[in-house]
Amino acid sequence: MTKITIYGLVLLILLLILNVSLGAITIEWVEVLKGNMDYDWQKWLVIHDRLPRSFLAFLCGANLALCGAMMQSIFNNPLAGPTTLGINSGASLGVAVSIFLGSYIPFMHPQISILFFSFVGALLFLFILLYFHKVFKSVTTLLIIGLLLGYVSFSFIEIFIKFAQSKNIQNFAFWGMGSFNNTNWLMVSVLVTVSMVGYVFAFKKANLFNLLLLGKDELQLMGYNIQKNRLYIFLIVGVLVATVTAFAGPLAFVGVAVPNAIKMISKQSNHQFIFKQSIIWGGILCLFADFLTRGVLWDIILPINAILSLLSLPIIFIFLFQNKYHGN
Amino acid sequence: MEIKCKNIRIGYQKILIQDINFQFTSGNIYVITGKNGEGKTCFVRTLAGLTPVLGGEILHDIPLQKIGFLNHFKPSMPNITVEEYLSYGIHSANQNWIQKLNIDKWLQKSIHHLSDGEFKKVALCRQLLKNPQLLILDEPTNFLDRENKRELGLLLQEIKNDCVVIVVSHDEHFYNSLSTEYVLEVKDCNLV
Repeated sequence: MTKITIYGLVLLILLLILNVSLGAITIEWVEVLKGNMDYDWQKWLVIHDRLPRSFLAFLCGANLALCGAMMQSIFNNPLAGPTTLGINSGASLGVAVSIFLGSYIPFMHPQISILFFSFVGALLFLFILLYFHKVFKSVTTLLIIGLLLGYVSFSFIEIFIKFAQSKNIQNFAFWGMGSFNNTNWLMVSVLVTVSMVGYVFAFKKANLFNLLLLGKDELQLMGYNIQKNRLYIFLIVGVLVATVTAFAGPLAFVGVAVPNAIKMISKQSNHQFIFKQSIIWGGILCLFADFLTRGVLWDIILPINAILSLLSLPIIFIFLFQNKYHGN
Repeated sequence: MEIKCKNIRIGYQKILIQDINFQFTSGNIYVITGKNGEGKTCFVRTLAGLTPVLGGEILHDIPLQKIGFLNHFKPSMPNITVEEYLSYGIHSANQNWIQKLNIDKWLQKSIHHLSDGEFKKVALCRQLLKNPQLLILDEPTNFLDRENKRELGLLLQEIKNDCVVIVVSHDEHFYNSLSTEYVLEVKDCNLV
């Protein structure tokens, strides 16, 4: 086990303990570990609120970082990320339709309804992209289409906002800030299942990603069909991003910053290593950001996207300055 | 090992060479020459399976993983080491090539820090590590100094019995030094 993995796992355990024991109400971490809490409400808080929330935060960060690592290799661009394909925009449009048009599913809790529309919106954009990928076969064209779909989504949302009630605008804005609130074990199980499929796929394809570094010809000579594999990669990335966005909103920068930080610090290019570390450290970043937003260190609740951006942006700037220094 | 070309037509949007009927066999070095834009690179890429053939058949039983293809250009790559470049996708490689080509001292160097000539040697080494049954070299002497050109010539003589060797080259001095009777010219959409 490498040093970076050991540090990561130690930090992860520490953050998990902090997130579970600290909050608006402090529960002694020793009591948490012993499972020996004094009151039933403390047990409820740990088991039904803080633990699933922590797992969700970890998985969201892990998945976004893994997707970012895959996208950066596919597009051969260190600034590519999970939002490059515009899947987030689809989710945003789905949520906007749900909130602004009052499109709630009958007999379904509005929260679940929003979740459903977010997922459907993201998948709709994903399938549009996959169709265009089949037609055009070019990653550059796909990038442009992702961008255009983003603008389409933005345009519709702007129109909805023009005619919406302020309460709905506020609800939509809150969704856009990202949140790990209102998590339950069902959401965590769904995310775990989807994540495991994604992780197995990514590690099985690590060799393909390594060969991608060497150019298309070398990949083809090793027997890989780049078009078919790209399709599978976009599908897996799309489903992972759609699920994360549906559960936690559009989370910013994790997918771009974490893989770049891993590559900068470790100087490694082997994707087996990069994927593993992206999962661990992407999860740590989100878990840490969630810790900062929950009013533990200060008396206010902060939006998760703001904290993620403030934590991630310095990494991106360091990367850009390092590249300038090395003449890249 | 042999590769049979039966009435093949090659090109991109338009046909560049047509009615190619030729057989390549191991034990010989084949040189392909001709003016710029005539279709030499397209032809060898088609032989390697990197570009689809427009008509006819290319018959051989060489698996893709046993085809070595040295491009005339250096592809854009991220910052990886020579060791990583040589190892990705290649298992149980014959490590002797690394010592033979004198690149063991560069293994921890970044690809970006190699000169074009040094990268050429490293790229050639990668293709040789595949133990190729078909080795195609597109302008292999670009960026190489006289000494390295000479060594390349000797290396090709050494391996020609174990694989089909095809070289695309404008360097008349180099391909004359190979003492091969198979110098094919691409001219007016034909291979002569």
